[in-house]
Amino acid sequence: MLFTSYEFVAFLFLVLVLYYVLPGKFQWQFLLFAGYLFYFAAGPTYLLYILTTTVTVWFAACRMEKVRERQTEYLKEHKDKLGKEEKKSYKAKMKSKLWRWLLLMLLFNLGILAVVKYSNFAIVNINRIISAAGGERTLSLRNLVLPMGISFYTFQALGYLIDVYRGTVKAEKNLFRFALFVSFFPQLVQGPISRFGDLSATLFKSHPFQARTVCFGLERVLWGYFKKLVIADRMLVGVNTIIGDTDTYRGAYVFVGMMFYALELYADFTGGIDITIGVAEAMGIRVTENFNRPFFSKSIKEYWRRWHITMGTWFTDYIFYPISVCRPMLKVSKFARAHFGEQIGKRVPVYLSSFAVWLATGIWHGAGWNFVAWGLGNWIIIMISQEFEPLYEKFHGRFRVEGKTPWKMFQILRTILLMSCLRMFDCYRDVPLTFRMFGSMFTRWDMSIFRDGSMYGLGLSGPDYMVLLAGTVLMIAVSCIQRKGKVREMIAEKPYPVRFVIWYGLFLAVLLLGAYGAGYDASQFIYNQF
Amino acid sequence: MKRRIKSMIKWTVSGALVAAGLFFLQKLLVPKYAADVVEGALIAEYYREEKDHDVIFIGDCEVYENFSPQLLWDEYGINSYIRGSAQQLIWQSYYLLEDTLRYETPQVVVFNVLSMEYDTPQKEAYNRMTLEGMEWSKSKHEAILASMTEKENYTDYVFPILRYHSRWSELSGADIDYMFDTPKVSHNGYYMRVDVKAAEHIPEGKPLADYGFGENAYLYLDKLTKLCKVNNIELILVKAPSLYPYWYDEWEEQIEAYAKENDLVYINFLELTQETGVDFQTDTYDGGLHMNLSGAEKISRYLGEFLSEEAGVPDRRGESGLSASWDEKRAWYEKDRREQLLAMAEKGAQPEDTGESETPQEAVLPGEPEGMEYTDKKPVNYKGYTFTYQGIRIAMDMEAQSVLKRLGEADSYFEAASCAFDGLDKKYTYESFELDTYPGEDTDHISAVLFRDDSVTTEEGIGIGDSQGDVFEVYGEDFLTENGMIVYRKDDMKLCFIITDEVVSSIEYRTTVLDE
Repeated sequence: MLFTSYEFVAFLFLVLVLYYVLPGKFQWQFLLFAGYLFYFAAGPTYLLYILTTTVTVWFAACRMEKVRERQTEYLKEHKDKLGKEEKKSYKAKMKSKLWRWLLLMLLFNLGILAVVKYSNFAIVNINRIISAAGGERTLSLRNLVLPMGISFYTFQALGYLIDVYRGTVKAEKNLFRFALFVSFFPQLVQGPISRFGDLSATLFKSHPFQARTVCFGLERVLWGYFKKLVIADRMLVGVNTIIGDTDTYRGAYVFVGMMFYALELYADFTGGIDITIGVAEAMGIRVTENFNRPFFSKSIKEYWRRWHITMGTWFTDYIFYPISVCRPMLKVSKFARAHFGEQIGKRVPVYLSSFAVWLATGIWHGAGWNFVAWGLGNWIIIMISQEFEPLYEKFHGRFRVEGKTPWKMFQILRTILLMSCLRMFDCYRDVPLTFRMFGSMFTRWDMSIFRDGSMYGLGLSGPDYMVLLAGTVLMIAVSCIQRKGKVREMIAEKPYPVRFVIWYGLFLAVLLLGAYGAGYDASQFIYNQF
Repeated sequence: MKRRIKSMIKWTVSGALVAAGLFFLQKLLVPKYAADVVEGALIAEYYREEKDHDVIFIGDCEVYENFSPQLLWDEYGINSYIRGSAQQLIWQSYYLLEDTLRYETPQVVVFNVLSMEYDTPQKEAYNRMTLEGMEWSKSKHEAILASMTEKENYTDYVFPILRYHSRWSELSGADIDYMFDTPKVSHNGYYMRVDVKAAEHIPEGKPLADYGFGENAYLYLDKLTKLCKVNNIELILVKAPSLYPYWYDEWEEQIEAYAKENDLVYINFLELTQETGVDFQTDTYDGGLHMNLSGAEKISRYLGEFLSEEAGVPDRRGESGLSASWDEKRAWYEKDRREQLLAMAEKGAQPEDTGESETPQEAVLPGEPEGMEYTDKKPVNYKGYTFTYQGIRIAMDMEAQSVLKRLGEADSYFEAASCAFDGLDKKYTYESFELDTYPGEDTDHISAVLFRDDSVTTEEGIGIGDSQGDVFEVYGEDFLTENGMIVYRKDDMKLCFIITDEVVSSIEYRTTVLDE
């Protein structure tokens, strides 16, 4: 059930009505039922996967909680009898038990993810190696279904388990409550990757009907549909034309495709997240924000703090920090300090941990070398800009441009261009082809395509370009207003007729200008597949 | 309390404004079928009629272009109506009759059997032209469910604004003029054309893997027969005298057998050209696909006589109210005929124009100097299966112009207008193969290549007469089966084999673009 399908709109309407008709104490149970129904509609076999992850992680977390409780009780009971060393040794023993549970669950659940998502990628590469070595027998590809949102719910569940392991979150004793945390339907499709502590604060509470809450939520849903259907899916036509015929569309077309894709991806992903957060909000549930106007970032590093925030923090908390401080890394750091000096020595763990994070980020996005190249491309740029930091500071001090509007604009534009270039790996999905296409921008640039009507050959008509331009301007304007405050709060302060015109106008814009229905290919959200 | 009332008024007014806005927008955006593609307006026109007909026609363009109710009235006093629409599928005909029976019970129903060739839903555009005109009823609901292609959605039929929302960029004055009332386009369902284009070079039918009509088609033919029997209606099966699409002997045999088995009258007008007097040089407006007015009146005259004398349909010319109504219709019938003749005269065309000026070479290559090198504007996609003939490589969907130039003059040429829509499907016949094209935005593109004999082979070396084993050896066993054919699909192209007694009897390259 795509968010953009009629079925989902009908489903959402029914869920909202029933959610508020039911007594508050049954609301979360109902959401669990709705989540599983939603997942069942996507594919009955998918249920098996999400159920397995839910039950195993819940069970392991409970066991870990038990271990921790036993430890607390034991230490309390033997407070006066145990010496410092004995206490330490006992704690280490308990921690090792916790670690075993954690490791087992990580291997099991990441194993499922690896098998369904990466088996064929591995087989293709093994076959390449076999044929390069002159072998004739190859492995055949597996016909495996990729359950909807598996990367998202697996990471969300494992994040919870690591938090329980660390003791920052108490294990949820109620299997059904935990099942709801994993299967909360608005975020099943494409995240955000919520933390148990954040989502559970409002997820299990009863929420009486409040017109303002519902209204605010639906406003955001509508805005999400606007971004997805009016901008992203219309832009998709042009993007598909350009990337679908790489013999014809080279040079300046590649630049056009690159910028179109950047805009499409932004509108698609943020639109989807707006729908997710809006639906949750309409039910009184708070879901963590996933974006903070990323295209206003002045550097790639800042961009990644503002784009897909929940994924970024997940990788930072659960991969970057543990790797940075793990024993082997400390040894490497020590070795580097001893042999290459303090400056390089202290950077080694950071660079290696970052490398691991970006490699994982790339692979998380998809099973392909293009995603690996994309992840490592980000890593290289971030590392280079970090190395050039002192140089930038000198430059800023010399020319006093820091904080000046033209300089800020330059930085923003630079970030947009850099990110868009990197996204080409995602776009063309083939590393050598991406480089060829990138190169063609410099060797085959032809300005005439912007004058001779060639742009109309991309499947977009004059009215389409006008809609895209107006939609993009509106999206940027809303982002600018957001810097001063909450747009929906501002609308809420207006008299009713003004609010009505805004709501109805937005609704009609989606209804009339949206690229949906017959004649348009029903497009999934890009992040569904990750 | 006062606040509550105020709030209620606020929400009521808001709701009314939203509903009114959507209503007007929907009226504005749905196609009016008034200025062009008028065939889309035929089904809805029925509901404006006084419903007291003795004969109802159902079927595709072979009924609404080939029979004239006006002539039936004028010469036999038969009060009839045609509930025809472009590419009307048999289940649509069935539900249209069911719908008709909600208003009236005719004495005779005439059903054109060409639609028996289709067993599954075909194209959304034609579905819409039939189904949107129907008033809401259980029959319409079931007709939609039976007709929808995979990409269609029932909700779009309930709320057409969802289907036509993007028409805002192509609205014309007609959309405003005909928002609430569309002009009449037919004469009791008959779509009149007076121009003339003689039939020539009608191609033979392509070999089929399976000549049997489908189960679904038979199911609805049975239902149609039963519905007529239950309502005491005489069902007459007809095959209009259209030379194309090709009517196979095997199809004829099946219909004859069905008619015999169910005690139905079956009239095949293709076999009655002498009796009807139809002359394919003067009585067709599109080269033998449909009759023009002259042809339709000849066919109707023959049928009228049969209906009066054999089926006992009464002559109602004595009924003054009905006569007056038909007098009005005759005036509009004559006016339409005169206006069309006048428009043709203004354009310089003669009703007798045989269309001979459109020879294949001239039609395809207007004004190009001889010896000019033709190159396709866009690179050709050779990723799928391709056919090479005397060094000329032919891929599906490539622009046809350069290939046609290099192939030289075809042995014969045939073009067919698709029902209701602009553009011509063209067929060029060479000694050993046929090449079909379809109209693209600016130029024609290749849609199919069909081998005619064993003098040509596929690039992989398979020709007519080779064994099934040879096919599997060359192309593997990873194929689809479509209508009894073995189909290999690569990129947007299909390579289709018909195997008869383990020997290849037909080979065809096809594009998949037209399947969608």
